[in-house]
Amino acid sequence: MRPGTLPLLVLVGVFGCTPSPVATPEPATEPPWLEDVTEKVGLGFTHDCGASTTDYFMPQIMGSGCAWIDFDGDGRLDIYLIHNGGPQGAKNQLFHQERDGTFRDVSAGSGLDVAGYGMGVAVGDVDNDGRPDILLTEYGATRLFANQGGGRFVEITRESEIDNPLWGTSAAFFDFDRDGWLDLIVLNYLDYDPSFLCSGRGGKRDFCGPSVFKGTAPRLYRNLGPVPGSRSVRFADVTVKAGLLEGSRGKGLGVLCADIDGDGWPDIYVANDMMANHLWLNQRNGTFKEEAMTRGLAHTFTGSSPANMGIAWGDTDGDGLPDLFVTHLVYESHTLWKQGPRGFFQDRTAAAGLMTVPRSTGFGTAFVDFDRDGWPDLALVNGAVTRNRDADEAAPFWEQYAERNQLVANTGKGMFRDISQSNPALCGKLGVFRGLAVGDFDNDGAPDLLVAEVGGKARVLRNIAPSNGHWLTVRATIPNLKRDAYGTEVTVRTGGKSYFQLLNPGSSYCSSHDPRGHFGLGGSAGYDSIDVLWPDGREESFPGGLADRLVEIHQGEGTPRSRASKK
Amino acid sequence: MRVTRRVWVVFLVFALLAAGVAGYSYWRPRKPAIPVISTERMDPEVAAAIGRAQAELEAHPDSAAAWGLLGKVLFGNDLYAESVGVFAEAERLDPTDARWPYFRGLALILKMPDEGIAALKRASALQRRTPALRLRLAEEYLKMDRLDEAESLFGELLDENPGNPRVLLGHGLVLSRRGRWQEALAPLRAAADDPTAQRAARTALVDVQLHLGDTAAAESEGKLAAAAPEDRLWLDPYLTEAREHRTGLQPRIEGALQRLSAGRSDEALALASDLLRDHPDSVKAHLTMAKVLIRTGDFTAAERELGEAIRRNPGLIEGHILLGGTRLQNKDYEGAARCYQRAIDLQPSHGVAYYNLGDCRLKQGDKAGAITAFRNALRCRPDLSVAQVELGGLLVGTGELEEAIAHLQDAVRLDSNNERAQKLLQQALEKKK
Repeated sequence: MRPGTLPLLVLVGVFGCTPSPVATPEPATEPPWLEDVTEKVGLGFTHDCGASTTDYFMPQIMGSGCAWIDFDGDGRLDIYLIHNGGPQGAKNQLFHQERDGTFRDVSAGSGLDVAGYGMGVAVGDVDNDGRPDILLTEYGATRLFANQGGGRFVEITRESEIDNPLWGTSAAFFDFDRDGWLDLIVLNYLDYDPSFLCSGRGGKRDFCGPSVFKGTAPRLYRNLGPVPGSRSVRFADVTVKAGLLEGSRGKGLGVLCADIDGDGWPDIYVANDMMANHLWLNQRNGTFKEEAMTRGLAHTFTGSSPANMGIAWGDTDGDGLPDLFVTHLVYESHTLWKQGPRGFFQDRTAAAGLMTVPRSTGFGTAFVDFDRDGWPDLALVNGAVTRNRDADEAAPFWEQYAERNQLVANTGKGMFRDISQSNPALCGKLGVFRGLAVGDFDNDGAPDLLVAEVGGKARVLRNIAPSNGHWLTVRATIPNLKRDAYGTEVTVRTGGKSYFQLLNPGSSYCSSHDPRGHFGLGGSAGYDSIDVLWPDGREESFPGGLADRLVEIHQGEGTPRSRASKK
Repeated sequence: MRVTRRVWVVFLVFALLAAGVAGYSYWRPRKPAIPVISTERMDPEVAAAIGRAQAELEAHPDSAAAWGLLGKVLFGNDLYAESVGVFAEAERLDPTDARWPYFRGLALILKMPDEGIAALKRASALQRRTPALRLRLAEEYLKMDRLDEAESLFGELLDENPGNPRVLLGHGLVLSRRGRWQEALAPLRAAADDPTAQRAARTALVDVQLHLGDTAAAESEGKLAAAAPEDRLWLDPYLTEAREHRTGLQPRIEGALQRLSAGRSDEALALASDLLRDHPDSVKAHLTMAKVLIRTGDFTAAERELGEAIRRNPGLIEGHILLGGTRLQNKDYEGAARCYQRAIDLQPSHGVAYYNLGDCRLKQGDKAGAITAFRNALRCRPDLSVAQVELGGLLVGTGELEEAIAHLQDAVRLDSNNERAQKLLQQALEKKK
């Protein structure tokens, strides 16, 4: 030790001993995985959530979602974003992705430039004409727009006989009866009475919570096919007939249509706000049976019914069985239900390391293998629904509800670690975020994010994660139906490992993902095979090839396989 | 060399003196400032309660009880962030009272879990006679997956309280977390008999049985869990003490309505009367009084209160619905229909309002109006089996058999014991032949 250093240490020892009252956030030590390219790609969208912040109109705090959609079939993802300012508010916006990767507002005259209390969006080709159509959920309406080509959509809500005057939230297309026509599930939230005023901390006015209002019923619409002499298809409301009203009503926010019990038929999982979740298992005869409780998906491990909101579905631990993640309130913790045995789920949130992730009020969420190491990571967007406990009430209104988003890395075998600090593009800004959709907009094999914020700018976040491996993008289509094969389960096999994904863009919260599957393959420069379970129950295998490319597979062009048995 | 050493000695003396001065200024006893709490836009009753507690504190700034009182008022009215520092001062003044670190811990646990746990540990160490504090700490450990600490604490509590359902539940959950499935069965089964733990225990038993490979038992437990009501909160005397300070319009309304639900109408009436006395301009107070009066059968008085509530807020949907109900009771069908129509105008998705409007039209002999209203009711609430039956019955009468059969089939699906629906369905099917 040099003679001059001791006094300095003494002083530090005396004056530097006061404990810090606030834990210092861990410094960003890793390269970021996402960059904000919103300005660069020219996406100009600022969400209209209504002018008034004194009414505490509950739909304001709950919307809106967002969607990736390749509406013109040019192979580049476009964007549809919805406003929530009411019928007199801003009109929803459609952005076309140009050849140079920028987005051009093509809303005017598109037919999608409509205004309302927009909540959610679902994308699906309802008339099998090869052009994806759009379903819009609103507070007070659900609207269907048929894609006419040339960037034009026409509203066919009335002709299609979709009639849902309730508060619609998430919706998804799926073919529950395997007849080749995409059917539709629309969640409804609650029986909201806008004249009912609520108070929060200290009796101050605030948004109402869900427990104040009664639940509602979702709507299941069966697609009956085209109406002769019309541009429309017709749907039949089969909610009662299908058994979706047996048992309690719900307060649906997040929906997943997937084969949850492993019988090859698509089931319906609904995340209900402050109520037990619903799992309707497809009985293969047009009806469903509710089994959330017996399958372990109704409650968390403590038996509680938290505020279930957004949904992510993916195989987190590589066992070939997809797991389910549902976002909750800041006062709760989000829940990861791991599947095993097939069709049964167990709350393994803590064992996956997710209990130590800082708590948040999560809405949109998705499993995405950002770094292509073969393990799906987790993105979630957050924002409170009632004023934050420590809110500065002098701050602008929405700041009082703002939270940071989160990015959680799967470190292998389904163990997670929060890496939000290293990802300011997604997690650095405080806001009230709702919609989250995954899509590879620049077709570089690295899935990107689209994020929607209440009263804020929608943002495109490009994946710049240092690559830990190879990738494969899979698009599955049904040639005779001319559309993406929603509900297809794809398993990419390589070097003794298998990577599973469900191809259905509906999940997250009120949002619609890229319909293609994005697989990280780790160190494998190629793949051995692609095994597919098509929505009609047939199974095929497609030959292997080199990684780092987009593969289009068409039903009927693979080698037929017998029904695979899963664990 | 000698000069250098002398400089060193002088420097050290100064440094020690400086350290002493700094230490004194840091650790010397200070009178904490009475916290300033912004009560702007708060419920006036909450603001008044805070004001009273602050006045008490100003009178007794060295009293832990006075600091604790302010803390409890804040905590009891969900002002958790504001209560943290107040409880800290109460604890500093009286480090022997377990309540202060307990409340502080609960206020901190979500945002600063480590500090929250530290405070709960201090509270538990201070008060070991009652299990509540340690039970709460053990449950927090469990939520955080700190299984070693949770297991140790639940084990300790189980030795002292072998029949406590919440302790049994926690113990069982720890064992299942540890993968000791067979051992977890007994405590979870024991907990499943108690209303404070039955649903949680049954849910956990589904998990345990699945791991033990007994799918049938898991399904059976799942069915029992699905049928079980929400677990009741276990009685925490400390939290009850803080909750007693909860005040304001909304908690008082909730109190009155809870008593009404429990069939304690006299108490509800007394509370609603007090509420109306203290808040004569409150729409909600009038509405609450009306609800109590309806339950007690005094429809005339209820109508008066509803009229007052609607006069103050013409957009009050619930008020129009209730007013329609009182008019229906008085056989004023047209008056009732106007109320339901007003509610529908305000909330076009109000299925119950449509149904009631249909009921009015039916009673007025307006079958076409009733059919329209019931159809609208089912657009909003397809689960309203009573509307399915009424509409089905009317459509049988008008000969619109296909639609009638569809509605009656839905009615039977929704309520298989509905004899009227079955009978009407039979009639419709026979007519269609």
